[in-house]
Amino acid sequence: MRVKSPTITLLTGAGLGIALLIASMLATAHATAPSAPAPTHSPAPTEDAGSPPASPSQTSSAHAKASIRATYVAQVQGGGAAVAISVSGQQASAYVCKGSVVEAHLSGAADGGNLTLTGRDHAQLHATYNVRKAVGDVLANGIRYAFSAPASGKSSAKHESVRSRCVGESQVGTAAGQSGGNGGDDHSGDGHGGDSGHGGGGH
Amino acid sequence: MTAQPEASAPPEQAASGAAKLVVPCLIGALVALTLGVFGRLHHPTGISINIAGFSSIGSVKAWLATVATVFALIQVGSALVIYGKIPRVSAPSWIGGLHRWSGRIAFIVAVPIAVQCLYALGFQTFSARVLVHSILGCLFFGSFTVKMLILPKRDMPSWLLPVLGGLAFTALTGVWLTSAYWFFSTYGIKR
Repeated sequence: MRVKSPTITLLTGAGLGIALLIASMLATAHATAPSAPAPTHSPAPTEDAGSPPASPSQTSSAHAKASIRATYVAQVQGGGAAVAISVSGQQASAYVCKGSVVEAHLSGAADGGNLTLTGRDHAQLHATYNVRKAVGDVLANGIRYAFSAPASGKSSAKHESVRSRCVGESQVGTAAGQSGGNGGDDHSGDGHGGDSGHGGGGH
Repeated sequence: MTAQPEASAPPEQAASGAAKLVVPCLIGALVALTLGVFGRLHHPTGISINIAGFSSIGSVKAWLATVATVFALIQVGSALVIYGKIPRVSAPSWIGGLHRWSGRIAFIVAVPIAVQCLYALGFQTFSARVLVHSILGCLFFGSFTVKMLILPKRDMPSWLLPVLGGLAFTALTGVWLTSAYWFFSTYGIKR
C-alpha cells in the first residue's frame, strides 16, 4: 500500500519532535546531574518546615535554620543570569540579575528551611536552604531559572550589597561563559517562561 | 439512528464523507490536546539544547518561527495561485511543488520550536500573550495534522482544504505574533 506524502510529512515531523525531545531530556539530565541534587523541581519536601522534624539531626538543623544569616550567590542553571539571596532570620530578599540589569527583586519569608519570596510582575522564588546552600527556582520576567547557590562567607542584609553581588556574579558568568550553555538565558522567544509546577504566575 | 438514512438524500456517500472527516479531526484534536496536556503537566526545565551562534535559545526560536512564518506566507500565496484567486496569474507547473515544499519546510522548522517550548517552558497562562500563544501553538499542530490527513482524500467539500489551511496559517501567524514579534520588539532584532 502506498503511503501518502502528507502522511510522510506528518510522521517526519513527529519523528523529529520525538528525537529532539529525547535529546533535550538527555541534555537536561546531563546538565542537572553534576551540580545540584534537584535544581529543576520544587523545593525538596524533606526540608519542609511545616512538618515536625522527624530526626534529631533535622531538629538541630531546624534550630540552626531559624537563626541563619547568610547570603547565597550563584549563577543560575545553564548560565546567563545570577541570583543572590540574603536570609536574615525570618526575612529574606533576593535579586535576579542579567549582566548589569536587575531582572527582579523579591522578598518574603524564610521559614525554617523554605524560602517563599515574591516580587513585582509575578516574580516568585521557591527554595530550600540550609547553612551551606540554597536550592530552588525563581520566576523572573516570565522566565524560570533553577539555581543551586552556595552560602558565601559574607552575610549581609543590606539590599544594596546583595544587589551588587548579584550583578557582579552575573557579569562574571557572562564574561566566563560567553560560549557556554545558554539554557538559562532563555528569554522566552515564545514567552512561556516556566514554572507551571508552582502554578507560576499562572493564576 | 433509524431516521438518519432517510434524512440525507445520498446516505452512504454522506456517511462515508463524514467518517472520512471525523477520523482526521479526532486525530488532530488528539495531537493538539496531547501537546497542551504535556505542556501543562510536564514540569518545565527552563533549559534545553541550544544552537551555536545565537545569543539565547529565545532568539533561536524567534528566528526559526520567523522562517516558518515566511514559508507559511508562501503557502498562502501559492494556494491562492493554485485556486486561481489571483487575477491574470495562471498557475505555473511548479506551483504545486512550491506549495508542498514550503509547507514541509514551515512544518519541520516549527517542530523544534514546539519541542523546546513544551519541554523547557510548558503551556502557560500567566499573561494574555502567553495564554494565546499556548493555545494557538496547540491549535496549529492540531489543524495542520487534520489538513495533512484530509489532503489525500477524495470527495471532500471544496471549501475544506482552504479552511483548514487558513486555520493552520492563522494559528501560526498568531503564534509568531505572540512570540517572535514580541521577542524582537521587546529585546530588539538580534541573533
